[in-house]
Order: sequence, then C-alpha cells, then structure tokens
Amino acid sequence: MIETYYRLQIHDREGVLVRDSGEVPSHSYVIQFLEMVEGWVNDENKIATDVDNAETRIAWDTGFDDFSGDINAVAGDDNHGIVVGTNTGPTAEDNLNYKLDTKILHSAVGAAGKLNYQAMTWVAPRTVGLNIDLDISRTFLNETGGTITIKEIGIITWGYEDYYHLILRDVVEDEAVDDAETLTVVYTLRTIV
Amino acid sequence: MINMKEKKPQKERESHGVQLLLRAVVRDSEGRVISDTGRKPSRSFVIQFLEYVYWKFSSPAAVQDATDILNAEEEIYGGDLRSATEYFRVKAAVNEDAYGVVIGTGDTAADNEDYKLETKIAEGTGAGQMTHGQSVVEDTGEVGANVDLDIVRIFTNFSGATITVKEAGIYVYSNTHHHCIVRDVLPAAIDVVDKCSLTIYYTFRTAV
Repeated sequence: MIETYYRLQIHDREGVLVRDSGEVPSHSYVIQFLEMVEGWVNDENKIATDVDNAETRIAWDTGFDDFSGDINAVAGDDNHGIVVGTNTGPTAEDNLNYKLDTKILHSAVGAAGKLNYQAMTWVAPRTVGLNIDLDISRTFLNETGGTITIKEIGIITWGYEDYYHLILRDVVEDEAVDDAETLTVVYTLRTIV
Repeated sequence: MINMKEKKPQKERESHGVQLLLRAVVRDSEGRVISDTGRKPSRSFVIQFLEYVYWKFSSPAAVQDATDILNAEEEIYGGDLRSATEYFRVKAAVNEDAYGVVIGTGDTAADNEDYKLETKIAEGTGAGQMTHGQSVVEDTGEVGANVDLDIVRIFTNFSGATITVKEAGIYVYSNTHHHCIVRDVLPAAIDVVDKCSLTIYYTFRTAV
C-alpha cells in the first residue's frame, strides 16, 4: 500500500501559519497513474489520455523514459507539478479525470484570478516512525488584491515530446486564500509494511 | 483546515492511495484449483519503490542508486540506464528467475527496508526449485469502481517433492542490476505438491 495524503497550509504575509488541514487522505489517483506505472514495469511505450484529452505517450520503452513522470516544475511553470484549481464546473472526482476542472494559472504580477506558482520542493524518502515517507510540495502566492478560493488540487506529469498527464486529482474543502497569503500543498506518499 | 481557532471535520474513507493486493492460486496438473487465497491486501512496498518514484518525479540529472538484491548501492535511475534496453522491467520471460514476480521459502517478517526475498526459489526442476512462467504485466483498466493493474506469474513444481512457499515479491531489472520493490510474507504457508502450479497475482489498485 502506498498511502497518500494531502495537507493544505495557509500562511499570512508575515509567514505565520494561520490554517492547517493536517494530513487528509487522498483518494484520487486517476487512471493515468497506473498506466504510467504499467509503462515503467513493462518497459514499453504506453499511451494515456493527456490534459488536452488526446492519447499521447506517458512512458517510453528506452532512451526517453527518464523524461516520463517528471513533476519537478520550476517557479512560474503552471503546466506540471502540483496544480490547484477552482473547480467551477464542478467536476466530481472520477477514475477517468484527465485534467483539473478549472486550473488556476500562474502570474508573477498579481493578475486577477491567478496565483504565483513557486518551484516544487521535496523531502526524499526516509524513515518516519514505522513508515517510509516521500513529501512533495509547492507554494502558491496570492498577489491579486482579492481572495481566491481553492476547490481542487492535483499533480500533472511532464514527459518527453511535451505531453502532460494528470495522475492525481483531489476535490478539497473550500480553501480561501486571501490577498498576500500563501497556500502550500503537501502530498505525502507513505509505505508501511 | 485547522483555523487555529476552529477545526473543520475531514473526510475519511476506508482506503486511499495505491493499494497492492496479492492472490495465490494452486492448481493440480489438470488445471483444477486446489486452493485460492483470493485477493488479500499486501502492505509490502519496500523503500526502493518509493525511491524510484521520487527520482522519476524529481527528475534529477545525475544517476541515482538504490540498494539492490546483493545489498549494494547500484543504479536504479538515470546514467547508463537512459540508453539501456532493460529499465525497471518486471516483464520477464519463461525460466527467468532473476526478476519479475518471485517467490521464496523465507518467513522473516517483512520490513520497509527489505532489499531481497529471504530465500528465493530458483528456476529449475531440481530439489527445491520451480519452473518460472512468464511474468506478465496486464493492461491497466477500470474494473468496477477501481482501476487495476495486474502482474501475473505461474510457477510449476517438477522437483518431485512438495515445496512450501512462504514469501513473494517483485524484482525489477535495470541493465545489469536487480532491485526488490515489493516483498510479502504470505499470511499462511502454501504447499505446492509435485506437478502442481502456483499462480501469483499482484494487483495495483487505485480508486477515487
């Protein structure tokens, strides 16, 4: 079992933690995740539905496989890594989700309805009590002058040939991020024997 | 969210994440089922799996090592593997006992940092050996409310005597190295009588 949790933390402009969801079970790996794992262990090309609803390669047989499953997005990159959205549809969680309902885009200048995406950060797998934990996180700054309410989060991979695939999507309780606040999303993947 | 003033209730469901299920079926020489454990939860992804996922996700430029089945730190990501024919491969041919689904006779308790089966059963028809069928990776698909990825292998006992299987796992093959990513001690030992087969089904399962 790979237990998976997400955690949402809000810090104010002074960096003070003002809200913390604690670890919430994530239930929402979507089919593209196991299709990617299938490609890895089968050591073959694997096609999956990308964020544009097109069937594109998510894993490679040789040569380019290191470039599948990459979520190590840099600051300003809203195409992959951890992403957040407003789920205005709304769209319920489903095994076949292939994109966030309404992804929030990046802006470094406080454009309305956008967040400033920071770089992905990591804590490598290590022993935590009886578990092995891998933490994946990203921080989003609200510089819009208004409040943005987060209702969905997820993880998008990048692969060679610039294909993007959603592998995980969670609909979360409404999380209002006020102006000058930051939202940090932490996913924890945990093995327990 | 804990509002430092107010704590909201959080949703909780029975299972979450990536489930791993293990099923073991024994058949006689005519293919009749003698015993079937059904799919039981396996808890035994070991650290090498999560390390590989970490390096795939974080995509470092440098080669990355993990503890292999010989207890040596060897490449599991990047470097020479980028052009290797075999890379994190579980799919294995008939008679190949070095990787794919593997079984053994050890019953030392599973541990997060296991790097091999305790006593892996080797390929062959000699004493204590079993014939390894293909290790097959099935297509991922929706099965009811779940998404399943099945990995299946058949082991046949032509040793002339009963073999008692107590552990199972998955080894991956990357260029010249082998890494263990799953090890389970079976809930109950399974006797595989001469001429009988044991089929191991590992199911990776997700569900929203």
